[in-house]
Amino acid sequence: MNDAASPAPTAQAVAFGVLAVLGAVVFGTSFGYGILGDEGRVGPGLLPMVTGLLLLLLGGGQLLVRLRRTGGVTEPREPDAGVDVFGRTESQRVRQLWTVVVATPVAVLLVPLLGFLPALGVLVLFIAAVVERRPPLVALAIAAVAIAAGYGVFMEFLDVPLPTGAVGDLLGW
Amino acid sequence: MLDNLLLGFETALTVENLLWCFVGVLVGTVIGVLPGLGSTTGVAILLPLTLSLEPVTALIMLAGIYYGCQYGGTITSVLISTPGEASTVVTTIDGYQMARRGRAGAALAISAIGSFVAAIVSLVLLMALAPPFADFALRFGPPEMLAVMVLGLATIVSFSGENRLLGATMAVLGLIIALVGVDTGSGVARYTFGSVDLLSGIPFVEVMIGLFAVGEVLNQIHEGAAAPIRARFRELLIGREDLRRSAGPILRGSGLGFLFGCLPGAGSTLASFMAYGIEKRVSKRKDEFGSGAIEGVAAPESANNAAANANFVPTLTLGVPGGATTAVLLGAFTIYGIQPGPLLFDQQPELVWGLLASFFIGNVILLVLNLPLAPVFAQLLRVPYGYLYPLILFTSLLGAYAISNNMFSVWVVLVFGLVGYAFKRLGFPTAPLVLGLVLGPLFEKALVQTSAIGDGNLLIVFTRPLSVVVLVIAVLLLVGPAVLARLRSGRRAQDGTLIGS
Repeated sequence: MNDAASPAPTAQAVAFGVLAVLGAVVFGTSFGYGILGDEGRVGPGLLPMVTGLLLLLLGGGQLLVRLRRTGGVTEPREPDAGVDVFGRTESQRVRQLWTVVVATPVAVLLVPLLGFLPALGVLVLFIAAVVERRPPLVALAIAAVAIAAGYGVFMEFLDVPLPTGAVGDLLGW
Repeated sequence: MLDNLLLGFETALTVENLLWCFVGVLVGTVIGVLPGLGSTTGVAILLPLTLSLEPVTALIMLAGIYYGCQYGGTITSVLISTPGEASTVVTTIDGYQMARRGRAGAALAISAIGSFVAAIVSLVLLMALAPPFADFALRFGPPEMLAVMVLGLATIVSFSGENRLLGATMAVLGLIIALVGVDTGSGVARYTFGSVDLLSGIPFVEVMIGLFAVGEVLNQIHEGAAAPIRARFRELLIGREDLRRSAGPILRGSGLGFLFGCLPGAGSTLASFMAYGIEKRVSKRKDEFGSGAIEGVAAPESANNAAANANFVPTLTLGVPGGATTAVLLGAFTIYGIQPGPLLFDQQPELVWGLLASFFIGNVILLVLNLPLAPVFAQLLRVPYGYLYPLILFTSLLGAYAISNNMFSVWVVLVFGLVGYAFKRLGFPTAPLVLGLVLGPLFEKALVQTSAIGDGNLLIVFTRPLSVVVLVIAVLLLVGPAVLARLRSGRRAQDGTLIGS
C-alpha cells in the first residue's frame, strides 16, 4: 500500500491540531463519567482521562514541532506534476476524487427510495460512465454485473435482507 | 500432540473445509494481486460472506485469504513494483530489478518456494510452541494480562518505524475510538451522544473496511493509474544456482520472521525489512543487493510468511493480535462467539487444530497454484483500476450492511473511508490505530479487573513476577532502540575523534 509520497507539513500540522483538540475534549469530558469508582477502583472516566491527556500531549507536541519546522511560511502550491497513464493531471484526479466522495453518500441516501442494490448500482454506473468516462454500454454492463453478483451472493446465498426501498415496495419486491 | 494433529487434519480435510480453504487461498491471491487491496482489506471485506458458514470453516477460509494475499502481494511487487501488501514493500527492491532483467519468473518462483518453506517451518514451530504457551498463559491473571496489553502497545510504538511518536499518537487514537459505547466495568454509556447504534461501540470490522478498502480506493483515485511493465515468464523454472543461493536466506528469514511474528503487535512488515537488512549484511554479494539479488527476494518473502503464521501465537493463546490482519481475524472470532485465549486449545481443540492443519493444506495449495498460475494471475493487472474501484466500493458497502443488517454500518464505512484517505495522504500509519482499537477494550477490561483484585490498587501489577517480567520487556522495547542509537552515535563520535587526532 502506498502512502502519500511527501505529506505537506502544514497539512500534518492541521491534523495534529485536530487530534490535540480531540484529546482535550476527551480529557475534559472524562471527569463527568467519574475517574474512580467504589473503593477507589477504576471508574469509567479513567481511561478517557489518560488517553485524552496523552493524545493532547502527543498531538500538541507534534503540532508545535511542525509549526516550528514550517516557521509560519506557507508552502507554494505544487504545480500539476504527476500525469497518470490516461493523461490526467493531479487537479483532474482530485476533481474525480471529490466527485466520488460526494456521489457515494448521495447513493446511500437514495437507498430508502431505490433500494440497496439499485442505489449502489446507480453509483457504479455513475462512476464508470461519468467519472471514469467509460463507454455507456460498458458502464451499464459493469453495474449490471455488480447488481447481479450482489443479489446472488448476498440476497440469495447469504439471505441478507437488503432494503428494497420505496420503489421495491411499490413493485412488490 | 499427535492426537490433536490427527483431529486437526480430520477437521481440515472434510470436503467442505478443503473447498473453502481452496477458495480462500485463490481469492486471497487474487486480492493480493489487485492494487490497493491487502490481506487486512481482503479479510475485512470478505468476512460478511463467511457469516453463514461454520466457525471453523469460516476461519479456515479467512486464514486462506490471509496467506493467499501475502503471495498475491508479491506478484505485483515483482512485476510492477507496486506492493499489494506492506509486508512485500521490501520485495520490490530486488524483485522488480529481477523482473526488469527478464527474471520475473525466477523471482516469483523463489518467492513461492521461500514462502512455502517458511510457512511449513513456522507451522511446525507454531504447533509445537502454541499449546505449551497457552498452558503457560493459563497462569496469567488480570494483572499479567494488563502487562501483556502494555507490551502490545509498547511493541506497536517501538516498531512504528522512524516516527515513534506518530505511531504512539495513532495507537492512542485507536484506544480513544474504542472508548465509545457502554463501559464494560460500570455499564455507563460513553460518547454515544444519545445514539442507540453507538451503545455497542463503533463497529470494528466496518472501521477496517472504511480505513483500508474505501480509504485506499480514494487514495488510488488521487494517485492515478500507473503503467505496468510487460512481464515475461519464459524462465519460470529457477536454476540450481538460484536455489543454492537462496537456501540460507530462506532459513534465516523463516527463523527471524517467526520470532518477530510471535510478538504481540509486531507485524510481518518489520520482519521482512529486518530479514532483508540482515541478508544484506551477511551476504557475499552485497553489491548485487538493490540491482536484482535473488537473496533480496528470498529472505524477506520467507520472513513475512513465517511472521504471518507466527502472528497466530499471540492471537490464539492470549487473544492479543499479532498484526493488523490478525486483529481483523480476532474480530471474526468474536463475531462467531469464540473467545481466543489460553483456554481455547482446551475448549475448542477441533477449531484450533483444524485451523492449524488447514495452514499446512493451504500452503500446499498455494504452492501448487502459484508456480504454474503466476502468469495467469498477472493478467489481472491488465484490468484498468477504473473498472475495479467502483466494484470495490460496491462490495465494501454491501459487505458492511451485511454484517449487522444496519445502515449505520454503511455510514461508519464512509466516515472511516475519508479518515483512512486523509491518513494515507498525511503519511500517518493506520496499523497502530487498528491495534489500539483492538487492544482498547481488552486493556480496559484487564485494568478494571486488576483494580478490583487490588481493591483499587493498580500497583499490584508490580507485585507479580510474571507481570513484572512482561513490563520490563515492554520498557526495554520502548527505551532499548533509543539507548542503542545513542550508544552507536557516541561510539561513532569517539571513532571520529580518534581518527581526527
